[in-house]
Amino acid sequence: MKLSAFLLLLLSFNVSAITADTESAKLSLERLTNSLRQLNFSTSFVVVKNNQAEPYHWLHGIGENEQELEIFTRLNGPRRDVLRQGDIVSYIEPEQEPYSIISSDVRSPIPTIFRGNISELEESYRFISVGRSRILGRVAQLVRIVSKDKYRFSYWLWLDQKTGLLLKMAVLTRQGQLLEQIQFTHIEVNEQLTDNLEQFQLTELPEVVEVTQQYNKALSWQVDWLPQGFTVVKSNQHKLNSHNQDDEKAVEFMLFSDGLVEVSVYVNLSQEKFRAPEYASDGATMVYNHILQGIEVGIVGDIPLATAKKIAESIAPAVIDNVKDNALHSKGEQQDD
Amino acid sequence: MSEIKTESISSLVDNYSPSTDDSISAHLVDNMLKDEHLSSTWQNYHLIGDVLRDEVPQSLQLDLSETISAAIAQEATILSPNSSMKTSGKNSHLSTDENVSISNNSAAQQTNNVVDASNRFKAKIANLIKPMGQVAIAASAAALMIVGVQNNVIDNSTVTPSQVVQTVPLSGYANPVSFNVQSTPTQQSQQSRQQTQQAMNEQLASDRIAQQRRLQALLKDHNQQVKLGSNIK
Repeated sequence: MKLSAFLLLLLSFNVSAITADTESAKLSLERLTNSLRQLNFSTSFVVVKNNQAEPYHWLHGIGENEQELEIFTRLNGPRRDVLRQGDIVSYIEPEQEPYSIISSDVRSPIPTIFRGNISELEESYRFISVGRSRILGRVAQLVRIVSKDKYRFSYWLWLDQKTGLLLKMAVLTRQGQLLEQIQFTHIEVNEQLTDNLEQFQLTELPEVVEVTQQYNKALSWQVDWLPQGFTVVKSNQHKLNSHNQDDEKAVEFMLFSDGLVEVSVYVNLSQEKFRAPEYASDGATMVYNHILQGIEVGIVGDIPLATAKKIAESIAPAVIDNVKDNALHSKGEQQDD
Repeated sequence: MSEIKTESISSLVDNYSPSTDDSISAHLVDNMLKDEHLSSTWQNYHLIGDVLRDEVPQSLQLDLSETISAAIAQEATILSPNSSMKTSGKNSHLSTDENVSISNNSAAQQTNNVVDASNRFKAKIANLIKPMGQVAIAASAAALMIVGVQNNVIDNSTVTPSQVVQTVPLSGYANPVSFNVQSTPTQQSQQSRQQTQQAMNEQLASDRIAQQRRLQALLKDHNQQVKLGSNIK
């Protein structure tokens, strides 16, 4: 009796999973994109990770000349705000002077891709519409963004049936371990711009800084392996300033993205020959570091440890010539340094 | 510890042995006999159970254990569930009658108690199936949850080490990232061992701080770069 009941449940679940509609999942996600861009909303949410909860306010609205206005405010601890008027994004952080940059996306707990082109994710992820549940007292549609391979996490989104907005988000490993959660605690959609945003519209943002990018500077290292779907966003050489230490070290830096997840790769030569892998995680974000044969590699991103390790181990001297022997030779030389 | 014990008692009352810890379940009964608190817990759980099953006699005697043990001393014939069933069957009509009228007679009370005990045995046997069914339902519900989570994970055959991901907070908190302390060689004398241990601990602490800084610098830079990175797109 026990077994048959179990099998029945198993069967019924599998059937429902098979019939899960990918198309309707995509439609839900596209609706989310539109809602995030077009609605006037004020929300509160809590980011739960590392056994801590961080509360945020998130306001969005359409101002004059169809300009998007957006405010993210972290409510606990030192002020950490993200302000946006159209393309100008300002970051107000405790570590440095406020600054603005011209950018189409905003670095916040909510992934930028949700307001961008969601079909960019289809290369690496599957969309699965699972079912309805009740979140924040509303009817919510659960949509899973599931990685096609084992090198990424999965994202579960609960979307409001009425407004299409996000009500809850969870980041899980493939084994189902919960890493990070965003739970909305309040959502309000208005016809008119709220007073806060009305006021914000008149505020002048900090000066826009020009970010000078060093292009065309050939890097001496390359990443030989990345999960499918990751492409280079940028690469440069810059100084990595360690936590209030004088020894700033120059690193070669590459930023990769698969649309949803960004991965940073840092490579530099080290005096030490070897250091065992070190890692720590901040919610879903993995920070990995090791020294192998005098090469220090750092990997940061929302990826599983195994992926970070595999990327780090694939770092090899850049092959500029077609001759592989050259590369091996230069590798030998660099080790002597 | 006591929480685990009470939990174990609860499962004993529900007629299946606690799965939490074998050593606890083995010594549980012994502990219960010694510990007054535990034995009262045992008592209370049974009372709760009786109330839930609607088996409370109308004359409610809160402390049954003494009278029951006296009754058991007298009626040593209750050895198997069958005999208890017989006894209860014999006395069932009698017991209901007796239960209605509050008897102050000590002898009557004794039989009453025996009946209570046998009734309870019967209830236990009858309910033996019930928890099994509940367990089955609970198990399939749990299995459903696991299946739900792992629904898309079936092709993942290799065990990725991401299960051992350190969940120690990184940014903004002083907690060091935890790593295993290597054990010291056993040949060393106690004192030198302590000294080396201390030195190692200090070394380890400074290593940890250095490590923490390295990782934090990476994380900070990553966040910064992602912010600026959007410029290129």
